[in-house]
Amino acid sequence: MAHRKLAIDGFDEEHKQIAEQMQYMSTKSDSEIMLMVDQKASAVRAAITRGNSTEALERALAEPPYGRGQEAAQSANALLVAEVLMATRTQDVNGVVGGLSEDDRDVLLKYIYHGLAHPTEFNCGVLLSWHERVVEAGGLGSIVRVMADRKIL
Amino acid sequence: MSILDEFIFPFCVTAHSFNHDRSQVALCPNSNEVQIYGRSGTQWTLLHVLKEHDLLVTSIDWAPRTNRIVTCSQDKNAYVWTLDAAGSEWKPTLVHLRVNRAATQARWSPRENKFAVASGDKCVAICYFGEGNDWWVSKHIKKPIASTVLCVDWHPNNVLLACGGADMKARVFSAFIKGVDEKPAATAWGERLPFSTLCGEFESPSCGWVHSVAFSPDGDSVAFVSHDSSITVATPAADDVDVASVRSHYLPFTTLVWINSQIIVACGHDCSPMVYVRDGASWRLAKKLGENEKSRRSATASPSNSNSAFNLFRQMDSRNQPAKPSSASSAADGSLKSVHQNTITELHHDSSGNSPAEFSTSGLDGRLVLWTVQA
Repeated sequence: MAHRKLAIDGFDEEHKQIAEQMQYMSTKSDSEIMLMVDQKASAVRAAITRGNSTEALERALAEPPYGRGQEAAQSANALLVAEVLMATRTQDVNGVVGGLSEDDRDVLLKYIYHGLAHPTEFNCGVLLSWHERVVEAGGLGSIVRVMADRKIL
Repeated sequence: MSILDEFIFPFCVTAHSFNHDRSQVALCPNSNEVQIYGRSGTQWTLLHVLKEHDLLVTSIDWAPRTNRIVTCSQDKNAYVWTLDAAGSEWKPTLVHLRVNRAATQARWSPRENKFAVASGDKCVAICYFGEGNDWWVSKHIKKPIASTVLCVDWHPNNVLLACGGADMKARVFSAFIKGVDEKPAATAWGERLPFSTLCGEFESPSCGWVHSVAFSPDGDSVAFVSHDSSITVATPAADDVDVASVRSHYLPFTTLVWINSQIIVACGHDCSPMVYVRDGASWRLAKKLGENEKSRRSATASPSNSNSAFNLFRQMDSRNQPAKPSSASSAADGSLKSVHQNTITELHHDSSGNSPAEFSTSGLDGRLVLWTVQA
């Protein structure tokens, strides 16, 4: 409420602990996660050169490095996903999106939003056209899920 | 035809509750009052105004058999209203709630001897009448709730309570009160459960605040809708819990109701009730109610006089958009194709067992609509 001057919950120690607890914590260590992303990279690039976008995308989307503190791994993974998106031919996009599972589609949308948030490193035009297709398939609900989910990318 | 009746009130309806035969309805017109309207033909006339709360009334529940109304509000209070002997006035009784934050929802238990009040104080207050003191006393369920409780629902056995909240979990607790309840039979959720025992804790796949929670009519499953646009149904089985989630393509739902053990109706920010049916172990969207029912629009009853300029500005207010023609999801006059023009706030099921089943919705657009759905 605008007229309140005291943010009363800020004085409550317990409240801060609870907010911390609600963050998503991965069971793996930071280095394990980074390693996993690097290992994915070679398999994904091989699939791209073979021209198999669906497989490349599925591999890139598998086991996302969720959580606070994983920014390096998340950026690396996002760049990997962006490589696949740019390598896919325009006429194949619909087919690839249609072939993804609901889980994968939601993860893809998270990566798309990650990319759109860093316009200097990503090709936003490509991301926007993929965004259109993914939202056609997943509806507004999939966008809400990207925003609501505690497992951030 | 899925709509029985549609009424338009000149204010946002944030909470509503019908009495036992649907002849009267208690509404909150987005203020600190509760207004009770009685049906006269196709119109509703204002019968009583219940003014006791200081801040927004967040929830109203009308107990069908004992004819009492419980209301709770952001002013950290709840009142139980009883109609006096002459039937002319509703008298409030204060409830000793002991919460330090706003109350968000209040629901009578099936036997109407207790009610649960969810609050922002990270607890649920179970209230029962203390004969000795002649007022309603409360016991709190606190652990392990980590944030505001947004919704509650009672199990048919009058003892178990489901609640969901801003800590993104839906939980089932035992709200057994010694002296008020007799020991319940064992259910799928456990047996010999003292007050405040946690019987189950669930979350949806992408988390998100749990806006509404409901037990199935037989009590064996609990369903909840959360802000990640999904519906999740959890059923405890022999050693494990079956959790089935459906991701929806729509904006988040705010409320849901079980029509029978195979059908759930959910509504929310997308302004239309969506009917989900059980499909084996999972659930799927069967249909969206109320699209393209333009033909009966002109016959709707409205307590205010219509004239087009008044309507135009009122529609601009309730729909929060300028009245101009726009995209595919709206008709040429700028209105949505669905019956409700703004978020649906509450959904109540008429559990008298009629078939086709009936339920009512109220929305921020001021509409109160009665629907039927084929069971």
